Amino acid sequence: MSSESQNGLTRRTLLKAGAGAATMASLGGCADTAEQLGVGSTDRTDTPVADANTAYGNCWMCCHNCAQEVKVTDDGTVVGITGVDGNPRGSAGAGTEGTLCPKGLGQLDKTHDPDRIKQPYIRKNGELQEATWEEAFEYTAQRLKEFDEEHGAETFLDAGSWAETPIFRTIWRDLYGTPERVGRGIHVCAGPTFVNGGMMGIGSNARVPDYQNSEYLIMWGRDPLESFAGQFEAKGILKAIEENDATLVTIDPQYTETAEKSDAWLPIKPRTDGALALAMANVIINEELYDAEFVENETYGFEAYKEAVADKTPEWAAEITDIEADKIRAIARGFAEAAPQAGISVWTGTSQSGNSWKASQNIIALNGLVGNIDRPGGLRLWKSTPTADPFEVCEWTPEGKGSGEARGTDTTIGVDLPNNAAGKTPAFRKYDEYNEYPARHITGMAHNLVPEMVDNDHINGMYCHHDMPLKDGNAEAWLDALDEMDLVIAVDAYWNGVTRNADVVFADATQLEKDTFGTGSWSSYSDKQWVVGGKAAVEPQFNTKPDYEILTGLAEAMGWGEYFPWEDHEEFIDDQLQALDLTLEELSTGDQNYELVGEYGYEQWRDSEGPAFRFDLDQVGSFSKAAEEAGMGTAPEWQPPGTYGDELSEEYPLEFYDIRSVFFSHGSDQGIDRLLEEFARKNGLDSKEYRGNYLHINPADAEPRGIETGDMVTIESETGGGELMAHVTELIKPGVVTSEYGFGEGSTQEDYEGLNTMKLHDTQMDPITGQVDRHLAVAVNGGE
Amino acid sequence: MGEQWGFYFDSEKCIGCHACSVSCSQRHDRDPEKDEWRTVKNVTTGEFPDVSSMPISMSCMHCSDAPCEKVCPCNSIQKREEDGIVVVDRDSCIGCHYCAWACPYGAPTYDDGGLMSKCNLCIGEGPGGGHEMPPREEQEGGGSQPACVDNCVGGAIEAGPISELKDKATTEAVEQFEQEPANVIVEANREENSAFPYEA
Amino acid sequence: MTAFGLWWGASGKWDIFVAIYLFLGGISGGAFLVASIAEWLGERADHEGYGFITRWGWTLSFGTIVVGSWTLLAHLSGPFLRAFMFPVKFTNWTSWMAVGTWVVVTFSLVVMARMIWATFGAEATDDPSGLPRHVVDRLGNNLFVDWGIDLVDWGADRTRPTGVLRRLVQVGGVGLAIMLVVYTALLLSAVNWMVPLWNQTLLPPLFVGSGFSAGIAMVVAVTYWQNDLDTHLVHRFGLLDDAVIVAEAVVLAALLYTLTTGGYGAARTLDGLTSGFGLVLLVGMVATGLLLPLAISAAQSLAGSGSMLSSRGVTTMKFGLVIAGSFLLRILLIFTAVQQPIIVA
Repeated sequence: MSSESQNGLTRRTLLKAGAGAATMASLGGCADTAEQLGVGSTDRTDTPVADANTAYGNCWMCCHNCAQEVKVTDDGTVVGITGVDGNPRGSAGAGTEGTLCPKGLGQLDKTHDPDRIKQPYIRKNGELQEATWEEAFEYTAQRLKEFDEEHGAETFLDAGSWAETPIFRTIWRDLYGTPERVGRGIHVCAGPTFVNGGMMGIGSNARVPDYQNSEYLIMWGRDPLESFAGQFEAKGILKAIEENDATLVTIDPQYTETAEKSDAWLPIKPRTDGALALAMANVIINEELYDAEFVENETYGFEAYKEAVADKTPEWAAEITDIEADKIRAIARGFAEAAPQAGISVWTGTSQSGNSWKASQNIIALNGLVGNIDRPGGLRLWKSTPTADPFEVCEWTPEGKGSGEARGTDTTIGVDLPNNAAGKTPAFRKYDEYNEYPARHITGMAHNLVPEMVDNDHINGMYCHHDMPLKDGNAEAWLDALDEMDLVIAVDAYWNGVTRNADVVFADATQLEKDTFGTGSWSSYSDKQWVVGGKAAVEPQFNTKPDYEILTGLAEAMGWGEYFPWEDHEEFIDDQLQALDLTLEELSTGDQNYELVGEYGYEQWRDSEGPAFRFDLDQVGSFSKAAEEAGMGTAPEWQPPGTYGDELSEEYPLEFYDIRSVFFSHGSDQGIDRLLEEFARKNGLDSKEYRGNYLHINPADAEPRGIETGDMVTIESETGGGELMAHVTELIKPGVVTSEYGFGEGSTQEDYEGLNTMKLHDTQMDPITGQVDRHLAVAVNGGE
Repeated sequence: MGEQWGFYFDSEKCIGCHACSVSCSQRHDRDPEKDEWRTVKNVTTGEFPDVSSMPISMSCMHCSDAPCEKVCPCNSIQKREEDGIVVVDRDSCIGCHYCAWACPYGAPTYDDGGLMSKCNLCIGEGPGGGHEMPPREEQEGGGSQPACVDNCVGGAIEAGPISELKDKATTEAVEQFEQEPANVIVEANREENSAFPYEA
Repeated sequence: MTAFGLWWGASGKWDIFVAIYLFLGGISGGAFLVASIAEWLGERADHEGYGFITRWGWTLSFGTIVVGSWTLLAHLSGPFLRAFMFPVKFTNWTSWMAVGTWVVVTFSLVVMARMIWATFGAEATDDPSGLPRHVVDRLGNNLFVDWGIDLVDWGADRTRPTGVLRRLVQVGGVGLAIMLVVYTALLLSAVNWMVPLWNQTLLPPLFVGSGFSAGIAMVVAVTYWQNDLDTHLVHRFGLLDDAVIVAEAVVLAALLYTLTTGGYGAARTLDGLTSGFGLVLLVGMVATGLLLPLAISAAQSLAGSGSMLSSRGVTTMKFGLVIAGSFLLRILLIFTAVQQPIIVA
């Protein structure tokens, strides 16, 4: 419990000592200096948290909108932060306590963090130099125009992600005219889950079952008690256990917090999930535990499915997965018998390997088999909240804007947006260089191929916002690509591998500093639609701007001002809220900043034509093509690890993949000391100076290598390697090593401590979606 | 003597996320690198695959027979009559560290000034907060909700007058509590987790 | 699969100053004891050697407790001057730290008085052997110093107790000295329920033994060199020292044995003592403070008083090892102590 003190002052104490009379408001253009502090000199003894003013925000640390209630002193310092009761993402539902996880709590530190990027930067003579907003906008506009002339706008990559306004799509696609886009979802998060789901009939809903009504929950390659998309997942699971006496099963090579709360933990051999799923289906079909009525009337392709699993007995699967056949039977029976109040949750754990496509298809098929599709406690078809498209509904008077008849005082409805990307094909589909990739039939980009595209001059520039790509795919190649690119525009709050290598850096204001509006589909309310939002709790800190203003400022400089008639973000949001008869003002007043705005029932598939669920995807044209090229069938089938991607060898005998942690998300929080400290504590290594990520390794693998907890070890794949600290633990399957991603070179940490797990990567991917394959064969050495 | 305050902790709901530690640290404006007033640790046992890793959140227990109070030479540590909260008077603390040796829970921490500070059930803010504050009120009466309770994601921690906490707890937990000197009711009645319920 | 786990959460940590303080307290008390013994023996056998030992005893006892008091203050992490408020503040009588501080203060006064009575006054002026008389006489011929010395000499003679009062001071002083060393042990063993290494029954006799043996070693060695102490006296006190060391070793062995049954904290302490740094410390302490001195004593007996083994140098080295061992014991006890875990079931 003792710890060495490195810096005796808290961030705020540090600022208190030197703050003086620093003002908080952003200075809009003149006298921008890096020394400007963004916080007042609040003496906590005089202003207890309890007495400060209350304001609201919605959390964007993992970007899933738990609501935040903050305490702000009169001089604009955020001194307290907590959740909002009853909030759809941050509570367990009506009448329950709203909380914030460590990431959400980290927003308090983030808001006034002096390590943030404090104003714009422009690269001049090879070095990033401070610039005013005006300069940055002008310069960027000029560079973008030059870029279009020299390379063509269609070679500009929109890699913006986790922005809090949709207008970046408007700017890059509709106005600038590039079809190139790399996002999260399909490309780096869980391509097989999303695309399979979409094709099989359930959209991306294989991720979040109807927890609170469920009696049997299988967390397959997921650890929602630590890695959740909104705290409602963790809370929902605990509630299901307590109130429904639900059975919880975890399938994971690691023993996680979710495993700890589970009735059964299946320490499966990595990448063999597909076999387990087929064996479960074998049991369910043979013992006639499936929903015959649903299968017969609402599904397509059952015969192909049945044939595929006919010989996939639990005994067969036991050999492959290292899980006893009887356990497989028991889980299959338990799940099927509890159905339809039984759900499976899959996300990255079963989606980020070369053979993930069939693994996902095999697993998702189980839902259709037991008939839990959009039934209480099962696979919920969550409905998102319809919002208006401001470009369609805004009412504005184009005074002096436009020409000819448009001039005048008549009110116009809607903005006539051009569609400058129309007819342009992304490079992935356009050029022969990528003909070997089946994924080009499914999507317009593959993350790991961007560096190659840069080499081929198919991509020459990039816009990146917040979600920097160096943590999601082959980092070595991407770092080279960043160098090669002619123009890199970055919007972010922290220095990292992208902003440090950018040509223009726009300083992003963080969540509490902007007007926000958020919504989604899944939540703790099984049958309600919702929105959350609020006015900014504090002014943009230092000399930063909210992303809405950054993008509209850029638009203005590009001569696109006419397409953005809103005064400010609030007006834009109000237009979005028109569909719900709400304004941002209304949303933010009162003692909560969310609204439940609609209800919807179950079994929504009754309202549509065609099968509710497909087992076999032979009717999906794009997939059939891709599958054929990739060498796989269209129905569920077994594909062993190594069919695509790495196979273990004598030289690289261990299987590595990266994992998440409750303290970090998407690599954007590793700059926050408080969270790094807790992470070190969780691993029992806070007494060391090191604050990077850890290599989790079983003693069976550590001892022969002479490795002890706390040793620095090296890890190598065929194409890359690095160094990090070992954490020897019994809570992981022998033969498997893992580490948290988002650290190391290029990360948001000041000193890049630890290993960027993506440096081990080459271009391994799922052939169907191009999803980055994160399972690698590695060698680990070190100790002493 | 006033109504005694204490904590209630249900490890079945704790997910080891450390939100309580972070929340406490923020409420009291404490340096992230300093020893925590509320610590979360996973108690790990067994060998793969028969393993278990129970997360526990622990802070000062405001013990009824507080050993820290007994050993402090200057009488700086006192268990308040009004509400049973054990507080430290930092104006008289000399930083001898004796209390840390006496405390089974690792509650005392020392800051750069060398003085002791620890959980004060959020009766005040900051180190030494709570000394000389009026009796602790519940939220309805205007008192603050302890930070750890406020943000416990799993809802594993509660705080309040012991009599109220007893109402929420299971009988076994209350019985256990009555035998211990600590003002915390702990639900740790874990079933044998390793026994897979479907023995074939 | 085990049905419970251990939560190692306690956070006690003391630095080197505490170890130094405990050592100095012990050796100071020990020095006082040996001085008292020499004084008592000196009343029965007319040998000036006893007088030397007595005087050096008071002086060294005083010197070490002064330095010890400073290190006691140095370990505090709070505002430095605040500790000087202790007469007003140290009122928690359930705490050995409060009680002990008073013992230290009282003892310091007594040992200072005994030192002054022994080294100032008419008798001392006639026979100015032993610090601080030597030092005093070398201070030079400054008017104020001379005047000051005369004042102390006069005061010493006026206040020196005789008869029953003297007996009371002697006995009371011995009581306080033992109390001093015992308190340094009780300070630790008061939390024995948390720290199995700090055994309530065994730590006090261990500290008394260690302090006494170190005190003997220090005082006799210094007197040996400063006053060319008679070797037969050195030998006698050396034997006493050896006897105490043997007793100490037995108690230490018993203490280590208790760790085999004292619960998880004890098991972990034992682990720490039998591996790595802890093992080095334990072996070092046992070798330095117990085994080597006894071996040297035995060799000296066998070799006879004429041999080189019985030279002043070797004897002094032996005494030095005893003192070092006493210090290492305190370091061992502070730095390898482990607090009990919480059992989570």
